[in-house]
Amino acid sequence: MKISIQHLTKIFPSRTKGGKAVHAVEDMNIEIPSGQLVGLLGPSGCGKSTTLFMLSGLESPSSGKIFFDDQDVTTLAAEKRGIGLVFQNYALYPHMTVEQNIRFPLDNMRIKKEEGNARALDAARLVQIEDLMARKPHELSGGQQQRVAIARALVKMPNVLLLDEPLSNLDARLRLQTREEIKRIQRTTGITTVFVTHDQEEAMSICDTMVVMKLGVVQQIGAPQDIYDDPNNLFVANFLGTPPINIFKGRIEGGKVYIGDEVITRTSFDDREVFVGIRPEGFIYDRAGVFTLNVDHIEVMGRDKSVVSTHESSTKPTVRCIIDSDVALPPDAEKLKFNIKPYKLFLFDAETEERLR
Amino acid sequence: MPKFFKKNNASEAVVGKWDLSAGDEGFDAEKAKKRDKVKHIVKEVLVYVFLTLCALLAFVPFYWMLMSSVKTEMEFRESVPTFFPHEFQWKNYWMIFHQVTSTTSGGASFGQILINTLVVGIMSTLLGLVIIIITAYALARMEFKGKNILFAIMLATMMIPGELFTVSNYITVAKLHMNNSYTVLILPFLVSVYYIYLLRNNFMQIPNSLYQAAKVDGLSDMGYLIKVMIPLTAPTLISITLLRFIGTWNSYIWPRLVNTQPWQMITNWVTGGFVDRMQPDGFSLYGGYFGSTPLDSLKMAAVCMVSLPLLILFIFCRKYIMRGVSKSGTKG
Amino acid sequence: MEENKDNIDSMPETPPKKHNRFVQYFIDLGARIKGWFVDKYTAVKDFFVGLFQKKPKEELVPEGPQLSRGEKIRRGLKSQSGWLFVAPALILMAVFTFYPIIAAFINSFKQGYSGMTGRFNGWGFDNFVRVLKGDTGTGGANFVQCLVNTLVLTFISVPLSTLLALLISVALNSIKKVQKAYQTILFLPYLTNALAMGAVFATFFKIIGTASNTETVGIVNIILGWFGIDPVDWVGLNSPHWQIGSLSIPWAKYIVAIIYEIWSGLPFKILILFSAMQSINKQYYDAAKVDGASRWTILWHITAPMIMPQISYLLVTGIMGGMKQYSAIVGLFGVTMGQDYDMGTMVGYLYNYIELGQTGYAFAGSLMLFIIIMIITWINNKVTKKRTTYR
Repeated sequence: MKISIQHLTKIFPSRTKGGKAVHAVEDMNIEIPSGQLVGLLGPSGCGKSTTLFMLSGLESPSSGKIFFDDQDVTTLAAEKRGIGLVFQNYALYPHMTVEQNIRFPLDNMRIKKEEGNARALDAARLVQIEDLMARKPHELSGGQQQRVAIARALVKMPNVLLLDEPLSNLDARLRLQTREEIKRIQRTTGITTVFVTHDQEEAMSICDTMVVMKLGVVQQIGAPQDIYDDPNNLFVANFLGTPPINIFKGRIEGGKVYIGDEVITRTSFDDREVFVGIRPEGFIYDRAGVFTLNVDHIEVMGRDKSVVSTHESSTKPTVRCIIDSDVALPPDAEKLKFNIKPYKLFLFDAETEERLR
Repeated sequence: MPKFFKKNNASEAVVGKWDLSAGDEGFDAEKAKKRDKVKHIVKEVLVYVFLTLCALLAFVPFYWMLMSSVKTEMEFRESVPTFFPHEFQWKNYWMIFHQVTSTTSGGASFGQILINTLVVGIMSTLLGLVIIIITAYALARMEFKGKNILFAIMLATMMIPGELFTVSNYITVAKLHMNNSYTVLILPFLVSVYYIYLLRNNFMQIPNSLYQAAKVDGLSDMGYLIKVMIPLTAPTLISITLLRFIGTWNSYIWPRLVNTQPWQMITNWVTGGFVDRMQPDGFSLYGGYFGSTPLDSLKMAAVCMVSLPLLILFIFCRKYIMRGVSKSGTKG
Repeated sequence: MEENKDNIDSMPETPPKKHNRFVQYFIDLGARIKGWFVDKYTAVKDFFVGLFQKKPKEELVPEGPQLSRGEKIRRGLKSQSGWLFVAPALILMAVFTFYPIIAAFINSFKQGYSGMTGRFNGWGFDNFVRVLKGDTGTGGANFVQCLVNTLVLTFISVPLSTLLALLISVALNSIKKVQKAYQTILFLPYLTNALAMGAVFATFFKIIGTASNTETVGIVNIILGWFGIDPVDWVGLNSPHWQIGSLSIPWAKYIVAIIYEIWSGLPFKILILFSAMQSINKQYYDAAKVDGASRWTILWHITAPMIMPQISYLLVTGIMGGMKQYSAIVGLFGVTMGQDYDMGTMVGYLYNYIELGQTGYAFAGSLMLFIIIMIITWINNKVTKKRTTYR
């Protein structure tokens, strides 16, 4: 099922009289191809969950349209859209067993008992909880509850599967395991899946397509690697990547990019103030390098090492460079010089924070 | 591989039995929207009609009581009842105030009854509150031998219906020659185990660090109780006060058993028959037409005198009463 | 199987070994019986251990000046000063609660007991036998009649009003506008005096007067008249009833009493159920909506189970209250509780015999009421033990 979102806007009226209305989502336009796993990514309050709930039909948009394939479903009730929704806290009915929970949507669809049983068992098998069918939700671990919630969403064979912060209630170990599980389930069923997360690592690792949002406005859409390598603006560049990108205040003068007094690289853009973003892995140690950093200390990670340093033009307290562990660094050096990989360096307009392209 | 969830090709899932058109004649967003809206409005209207009906049924007895209390007895008895009186006969109230019922046991005027009720109500509420507070305080804050056993025994008595006590208490009171006094109405009900239990739990929720802080600030135990614990549990105390007063106001059985008319309470008064009694100055409402038949319009006036104070109390203390009731509900 | 609640969380995700259903039943039964004994045993053991265990003294002052003897006594007294605080409550309870319980148990076995003089003819079950047989020789209320009335009124009105309260709460929960106003109006009947409002209800049903211009058949009969139903004497002397042996079934009065009890019982139930519903996580409703549940399904499969603890609480307290009803009956049918006590209740029975001066029968009646309430409590504990409470 292909999803297309056109000019979707959601405005919440202000709670207090005379207060400002909140624009949770503003003029959103997305085409989601069939069978993809799409992540809505952004910091809290960016409207990603609101978008998800509008897709589900639990919230109705203030304006704009939502199409499933070619059908306009904007005004269609949630239960008629054929979506499966997994809630952040799973919302398993505590008084029903796992089996009853999974069967619940089927009973509402008046599906025959035999078929219902077979489908419930199938869904349970898919998420590997078929042995827990007789238990109550409170007897399950967080990860197991999560699987039941997914099975309940899948059992009605939805056109679209929606997941709200699916991993946020799990501990770190389960989180890794579950995100692979979600990927596997999505691959197996081929159901178009949209999930919401604030964790960029989580989104990067399993998404086919990622939608980065900020304050209700879509910042960038694309494959995770493409966005990482080619961010549209300072916010996107900053939001993606661990450790995060290093940002410096700089300027362009006569085709040269300056940070402080040093010329970092050449460029064809006009003279202006800019932000220079350099990914941590974009530094190459070179005694004759173009960029000097004041070294604070060096963290050895095994596979690589991380030079933690400072620079007066940096917008963050420290600058982090990741270099291979077999590169020999002079011990106790107070300053180190680096060359910059050109494709790991991005220039942003200082005022608009848009990428210079 | 589960059979229901197998893909047939790279991009298309087997799912998609969902008919998004949601209708036979093809999908029409406007039509669907309209239909849903109509459905929604119909449901909404039904809900409001149902609630309004229930609210009316809840309210009608009060309205009927108020209106009947100022009708003439003739109008009250009309075969087609009027929902608004033709004429307001306020004298009904005058008549019930000047009605000295049942001369055999001394009789009592409304003023006497009202004083009884207020004295007993206020005394038993205040004294009861003091006992509840100090008992709850001791059970929550103080350490003494046998405290837990004592508390367990007190709680156990809650299981026993109060009627079991009444018979013995009736005899006890008679033997102590306490009949016909306010004491007999106040004393047996001063201790309320349930409210002690409620307040003790409230007290125990106050963190110990507050007590230690107060000690450091040089507050005595009593000072701590009065200056810290009581203000902190004020909402519960207010609820208890109100519910206790209402309880006393409504008490009927015990006063009837142990006291004669002049010492009884307002609820006992209302059960009497109210007649068109010829007054010393020769005044009567219907000139003796109804003889000594109890008149319902007069009774409704008396009922108003009992019910209206409660309603007024409710209007002003709605929050505390509802909270108190729901608290004792969920915790009981 | 040794599978109990404690280790479910830590259990690996392997399924429990499957037995034949018949065998499994007995294994479960055994575990349950064992669990029952273990529970009781540990509770009793803990209680007694707690009784005799010496708590570590906090008052130890190893360093510092040696205490004088007077100081020691003073401190010892102070540590028990809690008794001073509970003394008023304790004394009052001793006189008006503890003593009456003992007295009730003893005195109900005294034949022909007179409370005032303390005279009695001997010990035995005579009081109970006479009470049950209705052979009290005083023309007072009949115990079996009172018991039947109480049970019928309680077990019809309590479930009905709980169900109605559930429906009203659901309706109240589904609206947004003027919710508070409806809630307040619906709560009004709570704060009423049973006797006063009983009298008001009686006027709805009463046929009053004889003369043509001073006669009304009551609002209810007038409304019934619109549907062609002849007036019924609901609360009067000619109220219709069925006779089963010596037992009278005054069905018309039953209807009046049940209507009143539903009316006066609703507010409390609505308050409890409504606030319980308000505290249900909205997500369950969203989930149910996505799952395509109808309003009806949501009510019966989500809302009702979630507020089951409150519903069962209301049923239990409602039944307890119903067993003790009295004031409303007096309000509706007068001090004689209908005609020849045909609407008597169990509590009404007690008071009737206290007033007749037959305290022996009153004691026996109160003890039987106590036993009946204990049985209900016991059944309730049984039922609620099974019930799981949800987070």
